[in-house]
Amino acid sequence: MPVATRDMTLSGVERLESTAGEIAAALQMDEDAFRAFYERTARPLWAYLSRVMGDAYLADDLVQEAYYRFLRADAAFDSEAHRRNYLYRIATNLARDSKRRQRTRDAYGPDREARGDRQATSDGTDRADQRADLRRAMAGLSRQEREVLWLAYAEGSSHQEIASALGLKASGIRVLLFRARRKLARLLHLNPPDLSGGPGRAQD
Amino acid sequence: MRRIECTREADAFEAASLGRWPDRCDDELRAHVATCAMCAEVVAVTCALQDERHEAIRDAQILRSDLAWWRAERRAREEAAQAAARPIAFAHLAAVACAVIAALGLAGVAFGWLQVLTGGLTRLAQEAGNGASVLLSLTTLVRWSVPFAIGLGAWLVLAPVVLYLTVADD
Repeated sequence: MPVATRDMTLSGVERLESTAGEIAAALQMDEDAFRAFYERTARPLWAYLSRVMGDAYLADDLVQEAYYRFLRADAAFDSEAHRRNYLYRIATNLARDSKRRQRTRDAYGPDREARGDRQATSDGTDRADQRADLRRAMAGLSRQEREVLWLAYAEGSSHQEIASALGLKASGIRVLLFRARRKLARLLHLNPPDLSGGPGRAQD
Repeated sequence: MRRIECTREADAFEAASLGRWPDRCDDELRAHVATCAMCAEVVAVTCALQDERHEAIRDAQILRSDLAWWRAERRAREEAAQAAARPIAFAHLAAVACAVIAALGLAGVAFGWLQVLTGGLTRLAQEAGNGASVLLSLTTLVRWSVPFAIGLGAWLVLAPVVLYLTVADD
């Protein structure tokens, strides 16, 4: 009498079940934790990337890629700030790589509006004019200057956090920030008060 | 020595970033900022960037978190499947390479044998004289059949491999 032998090969379902554990392990975070972290950080991250890169659509792509790489990264975090800095580090590196690839395309160039950039809208108010001035001034800065200024003055990051997010030495941030801020102020045509003998005057 | 920082910068930044500048901060800080270029810069730059950040965060069109998770999971699954398939693809390639090498080796050996055989037959025909025309015809036939035999052999080896790879891709 023939004996029915069980097919020992994996079915599609079994294969999916067996890989589900591997994928969960590969993503380094459970869904609830990820979603909570994403809710807290996605919008600020998008704001950072869109303003540093000057391209809202590129920021959309980079945000998704940054979170995916963050999930795949085999890294341990000792605090929320550490986790956040790591995410910004990934995003910054992605932005740099992307810029390298698209060096010929000027994200702040005149074709930006032609591409329908979401930032290019203006409601004609003074505030909108100020924002347009700021974007023009930001375009006059280097990418690194935009990064440090945004992290310091928009995100409120400490020098240590900026260094961690940008992969720079903390000791160099102070000078970098000072120069970038001075340059932005000049590009914004800010008129500092008369400073003869002022306490914080830079002796250029 | 060139000074690049003011001791009141942190206060100026805090007032500007928390929206307290200029109306809801103390007079002493306002007076200081009025006379300090660095703090004035900090306040101006912070106000401008904070305003830009608020606008950017308001306008950000990001994926919902559940969708972002689902996409990441799907992509991780696809990459895992690709990684798992890589050794199989490599094995396929190695099998094809082995088959081609074996076919070429067999063809070489067969060609050598046939040359020896035709040489022998030719010599036999010449030694037998003009009367051995049948033997000469046989020799000619054998010589012309060499390329045909090689082609046939190669086809017999390669056709199943190509067929297998085509079906396997589907």
